[in-house]
Amino acid sequence: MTDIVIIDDDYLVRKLLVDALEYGCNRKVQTFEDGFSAWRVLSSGCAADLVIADANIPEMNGLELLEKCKSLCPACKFVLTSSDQSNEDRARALGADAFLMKPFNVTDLFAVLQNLLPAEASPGARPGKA
Amino acid sequence: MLRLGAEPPDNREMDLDDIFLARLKLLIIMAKAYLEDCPLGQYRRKAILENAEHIEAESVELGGLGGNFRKPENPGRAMTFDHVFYQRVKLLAVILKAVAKGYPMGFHRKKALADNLEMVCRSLTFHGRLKDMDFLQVA
Repeated sequence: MTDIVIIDDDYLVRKLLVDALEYGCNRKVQTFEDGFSAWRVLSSGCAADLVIADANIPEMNGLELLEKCKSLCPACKFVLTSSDQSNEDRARALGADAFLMKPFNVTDLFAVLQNLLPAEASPGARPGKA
Repeated sequence: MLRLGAEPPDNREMDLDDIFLARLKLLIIMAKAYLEDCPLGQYRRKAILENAEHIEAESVELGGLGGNFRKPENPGRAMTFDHVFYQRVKLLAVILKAVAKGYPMGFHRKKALADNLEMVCRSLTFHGRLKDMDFLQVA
């Protein structure tokens, strides 16, 4: 089972990500409003397969969380979202697997799933497959 | 590193319109996937229901509202293109809520969903073909 974690302090964006990713993967998605709460769970043995975090979140920002997640579990896929172009280079340097510039749409989200979790991405899965 | 989303200088925080359009696109994908018999699991049903409820609540033609709540002098103006579009989007949301709740969907209901979906998509993107535009044949 894939664990997907979303961290964004904007409720509407967080809810959009939840609905799109739960639909795309047919799996439950965990959400957090701040980086520290997410890190507390991720570092306590609950490693995720995919983390999508906004760069501008309280307590621990997305770039710090990215650095910590990659040092804990390099195999974990990490997507950084941001409305600030200047975060792209830093995200790349810290090993982010994808950078999603806001505003994004659902096709961008599904493209992330297709590329980072190909076994899970099945919004168009044929009958007979889960 | 994969890079997706807005290109500069269009990058900014997501506003209510961005959220609505993203959710509408998601609803269209959900509808098309259902019509193609893609499997629905527990979380997909939940996602469809939540998304449809949001769209249904937000699908309001704000241009028709205003400080004047009296009955319009010209009732015919109420059925503007925008009004019809938002009603079709609302209908799309209502139908998908029924799908998510497991209500029976026979041939006619599926056809109604497909037809309504087609009209919504046609309003969102222009799929005109040259052969349909007879006026172009006249110099």
